[in-house]
Amino acid sequence: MKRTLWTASLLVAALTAVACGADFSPQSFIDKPRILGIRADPPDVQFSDAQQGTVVLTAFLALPTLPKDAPLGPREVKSLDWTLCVLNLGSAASYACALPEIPVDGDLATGTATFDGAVLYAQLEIIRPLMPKFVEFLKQTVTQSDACQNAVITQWDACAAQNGGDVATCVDPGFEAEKACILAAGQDITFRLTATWTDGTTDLVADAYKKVRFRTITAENPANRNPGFTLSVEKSRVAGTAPSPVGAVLACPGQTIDLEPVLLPGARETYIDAKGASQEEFVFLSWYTAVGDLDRLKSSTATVIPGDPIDLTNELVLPAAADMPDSFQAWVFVRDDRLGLDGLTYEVRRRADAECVAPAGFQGKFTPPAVEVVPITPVSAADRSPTDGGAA
Amino acid sequence: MKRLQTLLLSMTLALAAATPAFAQTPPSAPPAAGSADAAPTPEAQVAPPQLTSFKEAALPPDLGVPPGTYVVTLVLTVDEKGAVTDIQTAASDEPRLSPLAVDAAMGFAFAPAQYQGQPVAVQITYRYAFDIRPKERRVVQVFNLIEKGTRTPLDGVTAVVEENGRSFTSFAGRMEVSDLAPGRYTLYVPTGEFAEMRRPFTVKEGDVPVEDLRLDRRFGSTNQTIIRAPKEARFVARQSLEATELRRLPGSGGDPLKMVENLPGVARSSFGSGQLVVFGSSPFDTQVLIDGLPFINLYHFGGLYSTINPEFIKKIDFVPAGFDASYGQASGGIVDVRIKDDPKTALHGQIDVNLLHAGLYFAIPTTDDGDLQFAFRRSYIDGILGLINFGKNTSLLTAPRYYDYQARLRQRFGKHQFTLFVLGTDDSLVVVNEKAGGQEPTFVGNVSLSNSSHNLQLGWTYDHSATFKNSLSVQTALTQFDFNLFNAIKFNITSAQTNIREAADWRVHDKVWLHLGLQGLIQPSWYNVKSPEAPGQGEVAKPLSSRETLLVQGTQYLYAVSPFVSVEWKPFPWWTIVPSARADIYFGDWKSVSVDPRLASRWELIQDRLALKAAGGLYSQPPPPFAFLQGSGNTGLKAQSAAHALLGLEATPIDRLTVSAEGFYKYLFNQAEPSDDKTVRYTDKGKGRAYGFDVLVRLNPGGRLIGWIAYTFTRSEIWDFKTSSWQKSNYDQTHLLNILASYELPKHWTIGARFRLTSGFPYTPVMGAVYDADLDRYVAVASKNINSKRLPLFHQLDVRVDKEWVFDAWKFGMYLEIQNVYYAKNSEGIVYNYDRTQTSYIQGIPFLPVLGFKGTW
Repeated sequence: MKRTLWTASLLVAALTAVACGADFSPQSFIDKPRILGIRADPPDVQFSDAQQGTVVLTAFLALPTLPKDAPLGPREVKSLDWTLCVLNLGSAASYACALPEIPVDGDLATGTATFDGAVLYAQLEIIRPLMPKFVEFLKQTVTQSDACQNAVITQWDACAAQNGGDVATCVDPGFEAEKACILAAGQDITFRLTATWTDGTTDLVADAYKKVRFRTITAENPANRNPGFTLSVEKSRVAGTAPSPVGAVLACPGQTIDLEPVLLPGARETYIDAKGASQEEFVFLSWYTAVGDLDRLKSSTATVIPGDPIDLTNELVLPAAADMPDSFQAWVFVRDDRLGLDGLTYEVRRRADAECVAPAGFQGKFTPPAVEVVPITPVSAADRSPTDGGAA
Repeated sequence: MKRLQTLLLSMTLALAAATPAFAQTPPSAPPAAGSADAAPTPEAQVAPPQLTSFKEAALPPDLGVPPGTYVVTLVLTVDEKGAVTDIQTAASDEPRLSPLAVDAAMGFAFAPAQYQGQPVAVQITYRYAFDIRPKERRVVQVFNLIEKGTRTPLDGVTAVVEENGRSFTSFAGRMEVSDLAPGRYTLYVPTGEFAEMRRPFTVKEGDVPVEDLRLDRRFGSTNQTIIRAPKEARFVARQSLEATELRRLPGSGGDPLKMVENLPGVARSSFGSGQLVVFGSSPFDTQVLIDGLPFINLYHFGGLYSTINPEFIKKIDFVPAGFDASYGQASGGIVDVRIKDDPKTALHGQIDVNLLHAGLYFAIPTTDDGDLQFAFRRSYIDGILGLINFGKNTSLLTAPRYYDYQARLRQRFGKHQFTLFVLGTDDSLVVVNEKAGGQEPTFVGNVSLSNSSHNLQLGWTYDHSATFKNSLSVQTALTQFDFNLFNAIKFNITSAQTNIREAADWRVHDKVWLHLGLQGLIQPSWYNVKSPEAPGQGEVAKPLSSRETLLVQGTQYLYAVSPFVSVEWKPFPWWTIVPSARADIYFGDWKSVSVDPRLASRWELIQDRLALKAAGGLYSQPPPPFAFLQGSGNTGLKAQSAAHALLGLEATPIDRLTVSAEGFYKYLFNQAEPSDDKTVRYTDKGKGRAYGFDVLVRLNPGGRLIGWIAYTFTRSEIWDFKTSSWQKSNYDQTHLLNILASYELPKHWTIGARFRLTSGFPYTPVMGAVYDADLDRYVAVASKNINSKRLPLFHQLDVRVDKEWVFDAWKFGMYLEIQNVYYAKNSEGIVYNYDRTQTSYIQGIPFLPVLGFKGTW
């Protein structure tokens, strides 16, 4: 009985998560200003003794579509503050940073921040005198699969034991070993974005964390790229992560919109993992809407049996006429399991009531026009500003 | 005139009344000692008084009582010297005979009753029978008296021939009617222990017909008498629960093992978890045993139903703390399930059908003193759930399905008894989620659980004499546990465990018993695990995708040798002191040596009425297995230890009623807990404490009303190194109140109710959440004060109605148990929305009717 307690409670938790749930608004429903994602360009940054790349971070923000008589609340982006952390303690410590965070300059207008890897390279030397403390934190964050960092810890502990606890002589070899690890295997640097919205009197603040991998990129182990996809409705393209002709979805209240994403070629990359095995990326989509109900929060490339057809589709059920605005935004983001991310937004327009309801005196069963895509000006998610109500 | 004597003797404890054992003169030997075990129960050790000098009643010539058989039922108090010190007349067929029987009984002499070799005072029921008859007796009709439904031969039942008022009494199930002239008569059995009955019969010259007379017992619980026997000082806090008692009580669905959580000191477990939280200890710290040997899978699916057919269970011994050294490897409490050992004299069987499962049980005598029992049970929840639609993306590949089986062969050869007990259980569940949809996009595929164990238990007991007995038990168990959560968490664990237990009880001196024993453990385990670390106390759940998943695979060998000794010294009749000690030596892939000295004592302040008891000592056990797995744990952990101190009072103001109160303090140290240092992952620096008191008012079996009121106050705390303060542990339930009662009505109706009022579970509040943009998940930010909030108060009323229809050779029973009658909306947990800005409680069972049927023959 003892052994099963931990797993039995996991099972109960899992079944509860799958089968039950209180009547909360789902994560996919945008009912307040939110950060929906942060894209890093590139997600893998060159970081070697010879060369250090630059990364551009872009925030994706969303605002709700409010009922006409609802108070607007904080909607204007007041500030976007960016920092980075070299050694983040992870979810167990609510992403606290073991070392002092480093501010990163951002651009409020574009919702972006740029960080030069050379700065990080220069900062590495700061670790050297902090090595005893750094190793303590390293022990709190090292993962079972990180052979390099585990070796650093083992070497450090052996050195400390050999010197009767006096680590003075361990600092230099320890730092060099740690630096070699960072450069070779890479180091996930965690960026923190603090977004503040305001309505002039009240502020709303949200934090988000985004990792970027700084490592030595080689031909054998090339850089990861952000995945891309397009979204279609009724076989017509609505939007894409790359600039492309886009349309708006035109639908009647109460109708269901079948959303059909298609991953762009190369979106699921093949890479060599830490054990030297070839792996195909796992990719998932996160769905958001300001109005209506999505059938799934997320869709993914996971299948019950490997090789089965992948189903990334989703359905958006529109509300009844009384609750449906003339137009609203919806968002889709794609992520891979190597920190790659991209996203798009699309617009849903309400079809004229005259087309959606049966004319007076109509006898029989009325069928409103099918959902369709109407052309609009092409705008990619990345080209939007953080203040225009869509994805930044 | 011939005087007959009947000694009706049944040996049961005030706290543990059992199925009675009727015996004809001369008084039978005491019930056979229990199974192989170093902790024999009191009734197993009480040898009844032996009548050494019988005195005939002097009948005056002018008595004037017509010929017939008459019984005067006496309650005799026999003291430690075997003298009759008190006589009460409980019943009499003929008032004129009562003083004669009392006078005669005053002249009886007994060899005193023995408890662990020492003479003790007991109360017994003695039926003094008079058979006043003409000089020559001519049997004209014989009735075989049999209890309806159970086919048990009945003794001591008196019936009257209505036509002439002559009475006759049965012996060995046989009633001989004599000296009647040819003609038609009616035999009348008056209302009493059995329902009234009239049976016409015809007397013919030269013919002695034999007929069966089946009597309907009015109240099952009156089939019990009580002899007070001394409590064992070795287990001062022990509560013994008879299976027959427990199955009547509501809240268990007829499952006696589930009633343990209604005892004082046991916290309410969350719905379906089956966790035994005893005196604030972790469920890991309480050991479940079957006849003294460890048993892993006590419940199907962690708490749904116990894995042992109730027909096998004699009683449950529950010791929350302060036990002597014969129990070990547990720093919390002990739940010892005692298997029935009474001989089976006829073929008996049972079919049990309820909403969850159907089961079959049968017992058959194999030799004069040997028998075989067998049981099998299978659930059909899968059939019911198979009809339910779980949504378009989810389906049940294998709905929750369980089965269990038990077979027990018992054979006694004189002073030796051998048992072979085979028991097994198998649970399976597979749920398929066909595509992603929730917050974790990887959750596609199967959630499956497969849990099985197959045990073989061999026992040998040797009852050499009243001063020495020995028992040897060997158990080997193969357990397999497979769990898969969408391939994100996987456990594949196989364990082959062999336990050996040798125990001897030896009276080395008039006042000293020596209990010696040796336990051995051989346990290889094969594991392949993919899982995040087990959460620490009060830890707020984090998204699985945000946590490191550990992969460990290998074989773990664990061996243990544990000698123990316990000395039970009774310097005065009113004082028993029990020093004991055990050593647990572990080797293999985890090494540890612990030596645990213990001391217990019991003072009889007023003999049989009021006792003071105290116990304390050290208690050790291995850390949870996952904490010292090679690859993901720390093999350098010390044994987890606890120091217990317990002080209590126990009173028996009137027969069947006991009132006890205990105060306890436990200090826990060397506790395994997750470490911030991921290179070791677990540390043994954890410490905790639990303290409180409990009060139990219990009406013991032996009457139509049984039940108890139990209240426990507990504080269970752990030392939080991050805040350098004591914080509530996960197992802190401050107030626990359980009220249970069951009452037997005429015509085989029984009604019962259980009411529970307990503090809610503690939990750590969430202060907010931060957004992980790589996972698209919000990660909770927990309060630094772990378990600083509590779920609302829990309260629930359950009721139960039993009805039995008794036929000549079998019985049919039906019960309806309704849990949570008034639909209390109790909270079993707390859930949050995606960004932890909204909360809601997880509701427990709304209203659960359980209907069951049972046929017994």
